Amino acid sequence: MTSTLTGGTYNAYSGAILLSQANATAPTPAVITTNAATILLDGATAKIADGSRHDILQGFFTTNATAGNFTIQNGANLTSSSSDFNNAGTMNIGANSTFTVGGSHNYVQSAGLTYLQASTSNLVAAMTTLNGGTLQGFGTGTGNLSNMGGTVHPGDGPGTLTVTGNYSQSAGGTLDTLIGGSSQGATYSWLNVSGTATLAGTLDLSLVNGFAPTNGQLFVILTSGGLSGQFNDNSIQIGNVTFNVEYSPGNFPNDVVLDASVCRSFPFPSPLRGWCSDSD
Amino acid sequence: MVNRFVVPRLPRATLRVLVAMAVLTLGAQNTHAQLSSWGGGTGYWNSTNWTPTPVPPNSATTNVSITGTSGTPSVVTLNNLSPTIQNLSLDSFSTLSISGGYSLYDTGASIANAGEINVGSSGASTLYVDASTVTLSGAGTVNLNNAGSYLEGYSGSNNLVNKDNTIQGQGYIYNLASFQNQGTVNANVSGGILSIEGVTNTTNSGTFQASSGSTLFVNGTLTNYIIP
Repeated sequence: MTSTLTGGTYNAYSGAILLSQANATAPTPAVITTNAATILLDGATAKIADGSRHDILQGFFTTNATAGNFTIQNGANLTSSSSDFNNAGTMNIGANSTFTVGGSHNYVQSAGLTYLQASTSNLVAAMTTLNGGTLQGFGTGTGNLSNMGGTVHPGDGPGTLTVTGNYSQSAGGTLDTLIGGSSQGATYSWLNVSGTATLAGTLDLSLVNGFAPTNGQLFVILTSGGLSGQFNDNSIQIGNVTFNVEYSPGNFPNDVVLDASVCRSFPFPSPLRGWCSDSD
Repeated sequence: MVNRFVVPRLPRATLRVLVAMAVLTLGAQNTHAQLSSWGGGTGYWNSTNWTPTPVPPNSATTNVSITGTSGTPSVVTLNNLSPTIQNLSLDSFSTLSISGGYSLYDTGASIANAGEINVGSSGASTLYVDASTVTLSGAGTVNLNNAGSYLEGYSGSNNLVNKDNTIQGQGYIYNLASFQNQGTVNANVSGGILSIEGVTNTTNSGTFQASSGSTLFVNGTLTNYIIP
């Protein structure tokens, strides 16, 4: 049975919100399967429950609708129902919190945002499939990640997103990468994949924080345990910097490395790397 | 021949209309509310610190206004009577505390609270709303300070709209036909329960919150919660 909480905000900070209409222990439970409201659970004891204090989200939550904004943080953990979990709204997983898809099922996002807000944020699913929307943040996706038609954005600005499993990106997928310094996973984006990475689709690249790479500077934006496939573009130019996209180069087996080539002003055409004519 | 003053005879229907108009006119005159304003500073409700001087009486036609300044906040304690008033207003420098065992009956359509209303500052007490629909506005705070503190509809057919106040603490929002929350209801007393109870329909377009080990209990129909 689909029961929906729609409209309004429900914040539980180490407290409980009880709804007497619910009945989590009935043969056909009246629980919250779909969220179209704003729910925040903060702390290990935070919950939304029926009048007898039986949790009506834990083990029942199935869908976060377009209007849904769901957050767990600061030790609040939640396991969804034993079926695929669907997100079309906003799912925030905060510090020291884990969202687990029950029964080793899949996390499927059609639109919206999944935001792993801290390095201690964890999303656990057999497979996380992005058909749309964005997965971003600093935490860990435990399980395989399939980016079919969404955007994966390590960090908030730049940052590290870890995939404990395999990463595959299809033609419709985008890896959004920011370069704002020379520190991997801190000032430039890093997708850290423990398993294999199979690539296709778009690598979207931006320079941020006024950072100016030096000629020949390397940025290891994706590491993996086995690399295959390539993004659409072999090089990406931003201003006077051309980033050559290199796969498993030299000392970086199974990694994707951006090699910066910086044009400097030169009055006439030059074959030298990094020196560009004014007409370039 | 005797001259007589002859009253023209009017049709009965016309007379009824005239009588009704007269009654309405008199009624309207009676509903012209008197205003009682607090003179500032700290004191008890039954003090002489009101303008005009008498203590706001048990009158459903008396609007009560409590205002203060940043330098001289107004703090009014209601501790030895349970008055009936029409509309209540507090500015942001004002506090009204209803002491245990006493109540305030608001029969008007408005509680404009930009300050603080303490219900049950020392024991169980009630702020009654006793109009068809009462709107709580002003972005102030209503503190339900006691497990026996009530924000209550007088007849059970009353509708309460919390436009922008924060209703917090423990106790009850009680005995209403409907409660529309557009502001915040925050259960924030550790181990305590703030219960919305005896309310036919509760609708939340604002914030319901339970914090610090407390419980917010919607014990009735929440229209936001759709169970097929």
